[in-house]
Amino acid sequence: MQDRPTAHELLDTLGRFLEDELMPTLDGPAAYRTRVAANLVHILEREEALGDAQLRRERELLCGLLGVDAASLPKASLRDQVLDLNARVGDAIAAGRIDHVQAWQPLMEIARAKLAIIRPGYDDYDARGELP
Amino acid sequence: MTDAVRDGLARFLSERWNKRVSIPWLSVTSAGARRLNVLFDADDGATKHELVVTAIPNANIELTPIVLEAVTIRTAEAAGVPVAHVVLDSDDTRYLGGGFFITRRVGGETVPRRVLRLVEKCKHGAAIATKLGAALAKLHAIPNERIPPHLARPENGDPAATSLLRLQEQVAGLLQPAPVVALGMRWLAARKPSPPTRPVLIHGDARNGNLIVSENGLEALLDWEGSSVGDPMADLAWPCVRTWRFGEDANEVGGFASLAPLVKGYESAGGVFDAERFHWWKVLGTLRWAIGLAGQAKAHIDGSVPNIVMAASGRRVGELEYDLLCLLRPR
Repeated sequence: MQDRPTAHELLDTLGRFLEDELMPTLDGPAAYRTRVAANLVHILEREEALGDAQLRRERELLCGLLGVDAASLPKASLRDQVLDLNARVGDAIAAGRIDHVQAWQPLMEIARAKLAIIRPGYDDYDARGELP
Repeated sequence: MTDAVRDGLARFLSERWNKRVSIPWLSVTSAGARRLNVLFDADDGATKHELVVTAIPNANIELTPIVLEAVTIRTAEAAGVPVAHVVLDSDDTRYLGGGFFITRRVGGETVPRRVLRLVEKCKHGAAIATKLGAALAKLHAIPNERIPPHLARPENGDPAATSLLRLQEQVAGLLQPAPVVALGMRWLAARKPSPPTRPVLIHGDARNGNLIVSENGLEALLDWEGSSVGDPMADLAWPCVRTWRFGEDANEVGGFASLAPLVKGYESAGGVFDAERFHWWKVLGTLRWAIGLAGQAKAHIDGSVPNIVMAASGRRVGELEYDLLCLLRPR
């Protein structure tokens, strides 16, 4: 077992270093790239906390769309299973075997879960007022 | 680099104006791999000219001659579209390494968040959208015989089909399967609009970021590199994609105005707005940008353009997937 700080604590430290110590000393493109780097660190922090649970839920939702049982999937890492399921669902949608209305709700749930990691709050806006 | 640019500009202007010209000030605003934008002052001894040069720094990477962009800008200006007036252009590589054109420097903001701060202060967002709508209507009204011949034409006069075909090729090159993109492609194919009555000259990228905005409002449309012949509604829809609102999501047009003033300006200058077609092109633009961001991440991962901004783009694809699903909400 590694000693403290944990990976999560180190990411937090790294983010604070980039934002609070490094960024104020920079300007122009370097400052911008450092802000991007700090944002990526925050994404990794949230992915560390939420990623596995999200992948399991995504597996469940995609299995539901395909009408298969998660327990019957070929043995592989969770990530590889979800990657494969995404390919199968994408193909099924492209071929019209899963229709728009059926696919929309689960895909929206997955999209919102991804946002909770990459951009919390982005889904506060839902563009309902823009629909024709 | 700035010394070489300063020297090249001074030589070029001295020869063209037939008097000794110096460059007392210059500022590089963007130095991408492909294009160089430099603000500068040119002093001819009697007058100080405030100018901007847009250059391809290396003739070998000049896919389309940049002087043709100057042709498009002049065509738009002649139709009454606000642009930065082109003063001179040249395809002679001896001055800046590649072709270039020089425009008057128009005062105002172009950086999107600064534009939005200015709009917040001056409360002129609706007026900017109205003027943008009118500008695009004037552009779209340019008759066929005056559309520059070098601009890309849609296959079979069908911009939607041409864009879908190009997207399909890009989807095939994605690094990982994307069911949301598949859903979007299927939706687009099922609702593909008929070809427009007349494919028109479109700007192609008239979004917040390519507009010069001052306290007086919209001053000019910049960056005509992506102009082509296409569906006029594509030109109105692209600036309304959520990405270009920079956080001001309720303001559909570039984060500074609702759709109504854009449409009002478009129709008042003779344009015909088609809501269904507009929506279709907004969906297409959103999907195209999702693929564009995925492509940036791919360029980072495969080593062709390795940098942290390109890497981060990969983790923005999810934003566009969400936007796409919002636009495709079942009724």
